[in-house]
Amino acid sequence: MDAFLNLLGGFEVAISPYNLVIAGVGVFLGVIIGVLPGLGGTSGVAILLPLTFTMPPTSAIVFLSCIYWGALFGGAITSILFNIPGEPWSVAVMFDGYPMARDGRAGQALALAFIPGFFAAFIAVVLFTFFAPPLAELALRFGPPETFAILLLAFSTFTGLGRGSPMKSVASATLGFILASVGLDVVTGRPRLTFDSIILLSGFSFITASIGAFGVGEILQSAEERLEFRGTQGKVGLGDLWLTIRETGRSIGTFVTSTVLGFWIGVLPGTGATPASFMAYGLAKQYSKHPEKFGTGAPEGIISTQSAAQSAGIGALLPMVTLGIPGSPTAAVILGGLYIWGLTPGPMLFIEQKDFVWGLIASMYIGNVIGVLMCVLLVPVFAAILRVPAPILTPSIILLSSIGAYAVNNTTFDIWLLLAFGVAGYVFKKLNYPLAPFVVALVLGDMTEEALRQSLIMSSGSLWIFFTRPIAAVGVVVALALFMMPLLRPGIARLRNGLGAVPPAQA
Amino acid sequence: MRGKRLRVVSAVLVALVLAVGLLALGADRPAQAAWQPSKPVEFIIMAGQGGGADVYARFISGLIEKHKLAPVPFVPLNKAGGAGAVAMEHVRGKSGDPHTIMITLSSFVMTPIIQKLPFSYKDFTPISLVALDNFFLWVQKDSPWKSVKEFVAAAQKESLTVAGTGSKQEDELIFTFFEQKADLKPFKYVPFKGGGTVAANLVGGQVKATVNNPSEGLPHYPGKLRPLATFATERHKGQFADLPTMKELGYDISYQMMRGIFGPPKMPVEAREYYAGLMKKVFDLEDFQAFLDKNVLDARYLAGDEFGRWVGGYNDVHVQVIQKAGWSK
Repeated sequence: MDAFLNLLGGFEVAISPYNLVIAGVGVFLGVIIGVLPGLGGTSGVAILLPLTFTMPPTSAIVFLSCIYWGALFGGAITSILFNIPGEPWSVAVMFDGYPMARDGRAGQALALAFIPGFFAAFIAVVLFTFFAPPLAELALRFGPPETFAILLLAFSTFTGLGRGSPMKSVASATLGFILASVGLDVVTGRPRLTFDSIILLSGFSFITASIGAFGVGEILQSAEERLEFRGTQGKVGLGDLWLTIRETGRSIGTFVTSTVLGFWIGVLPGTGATPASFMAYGLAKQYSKHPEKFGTGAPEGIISTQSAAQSAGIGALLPMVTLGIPGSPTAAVILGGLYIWGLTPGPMLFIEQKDFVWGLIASMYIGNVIGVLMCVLLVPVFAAILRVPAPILTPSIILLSSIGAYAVNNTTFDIWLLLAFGVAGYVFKKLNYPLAPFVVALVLGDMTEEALRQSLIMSSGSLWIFFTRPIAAVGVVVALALFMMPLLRPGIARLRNGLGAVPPAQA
Repeated sequence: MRGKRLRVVSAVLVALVLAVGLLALGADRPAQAAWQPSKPVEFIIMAGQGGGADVYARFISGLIEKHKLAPVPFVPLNKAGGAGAVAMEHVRGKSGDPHTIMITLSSFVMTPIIQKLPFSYKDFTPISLVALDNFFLWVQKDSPWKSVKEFVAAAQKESLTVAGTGSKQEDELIFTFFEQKADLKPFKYVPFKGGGTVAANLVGGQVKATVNNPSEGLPHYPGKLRPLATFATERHKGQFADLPTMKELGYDISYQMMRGIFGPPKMPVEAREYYAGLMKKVFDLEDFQAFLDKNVLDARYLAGDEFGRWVGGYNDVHVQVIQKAGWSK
């Protein structure tokens, strides 16, 4: 009840004309930042941070968080239209969003990202409003072993479901793991696979790799086939909206699971929206009735990933406000803002700076409403980009992607990497190697290894740490079971076929 | 005739001298006025977005903007990776450039030694020191250890699990120092990527102690965490005036982290002086001092050769500990 009254107070703050305008501008800038590949929400917020010094703290946080909400929406747009991730968290949206757009259903694909994404964000904000402090407490119980268990679960949801040759999936993932290990090892502080090159000490950025492998690779392939994008019908009518809502209703289970999962992954310190969207995809595929349709334009593939990303984005601000720990890189930059505005994050913020905290929460509701309206109204504009002739569009996309790759580390080296990954992506496709395991391994491999080794330092090298801690144990056991599934499945089938009918070989 | 010609010649000469003199005066004026940057200044951050160095850089560039202290914008640019090596390599390549500066942390002296890089801190132009960041020894509020003495007694009996930011960086350095000076069993040191996560793992009870910066531990103080001591050389003023220093407790360990500004190699003297003056203006701002106070940083301004000598001493301390710990092998 208290939360309710506070929220009303927050709305009073957030709905002042000045703050409303600030929120609108923030969301708009965020959408643009989200659309531009490479220029992520994190850099966007960082670049615009100095603008906030002259604002009152509440308006400042409304502005920055609205950029974040805008970027969460906007990231999906280029992913779906061009197979180029606008943001790290929209890589997984491409898996099904782009095939659907290529099928001529770009409008529908965008609606499937925005509408469920909005509802997911809304649910996440409600969770934030009423359960922030207890959820933050719970998040603190998650140490490295629990984080490892969760990441292991993420990997397990991706096994046994790949179309095509499982060996090719393994090869693709292995390559991802190898590239993930390049750079300075956080645990030992030693360089790995850098061959004495200073530039390689930063390792391979997953965002450069995915813009290259997916986006540039796709352009190379379509150049070979014929110079045009196929998703030319990009109108979103009321029919599409209705279809979207019906589709979301049909996959309500996937939607709810992804939203809740995304929110929780967001709340956990140091993870964020990117792993959340991958995990939601794996999970949705694992429990879908038609897993074979994933990767060809399955609505659930879009719903799950975008819902998870957007609720994780909201979740990531929770530990930042309540504990002073950023749940994602973007939240880390906003946290820096808090210090600059003269505030100390943490539990005291809820008591000493009520206007600030509840103004922020109220602006989450408002920002997301503005975001969804802006995006849905702009869908025809975005889709119209697809009608630009390919000889103009393709070089523009390559140019934007190069700028994006440069922006990751502010080095031209990344542009060369982008092109190299583009060629690699093209070769992958020609040889029928799946790209998804490669990027998943590249983005999650690093975190998983870190959590595993941190856990082993804590336990002096004993693997028992994963089984003696209840939360970790449950996660690890379930993950191991899922890994075994493809091996066990034929055995289970044989058992089901009647023990009598087919005599076991040894009996 | 001759006299007339002479007069003409001398008139021309006088005119020439006057013209040259005027030109010289004209040219002299901008040279006498202080050098100023003529295009946006690249403000390199040797760490990723959201970390301590990032916050300071963005704060400083925001203050320059807000108080109109410079004619051009200062553009913060993150060059994360390789514990600062990538940023240092970049700035080193800008030799002589008056429009690039860099904000540094301890990795500025440590990384070249540990990673055996082909350059060192000496290659860069010292501009100014703006603050010294502090380190507290933190434990959980409900931990049985109420003093450093009790903590040391426990750490002499068993290997305690502790956490810090990164590997072979300042946090691990302090713990290694502590181990050596107080004769402790080796800590089980768990590295994390950011200070906020380190603090969270202490609050959540995953580890027994940290040496977080005050700004990282304060969100949990006094509710969840307790500082046992500070690694500063003297006691702090204000809310932590009662917190003992390690030194006065009998452990000769003091450590503070440099928050300094450096330029590329061979930076022109006038540019160097300009930035040192600019940083002094920033340093004297009320906003800046309030920020330092709030996050328990020591306000300390040094510039020019004085700063250069200070960095030399700072480097030597690191070299000793790194060699003793065998990290550069």
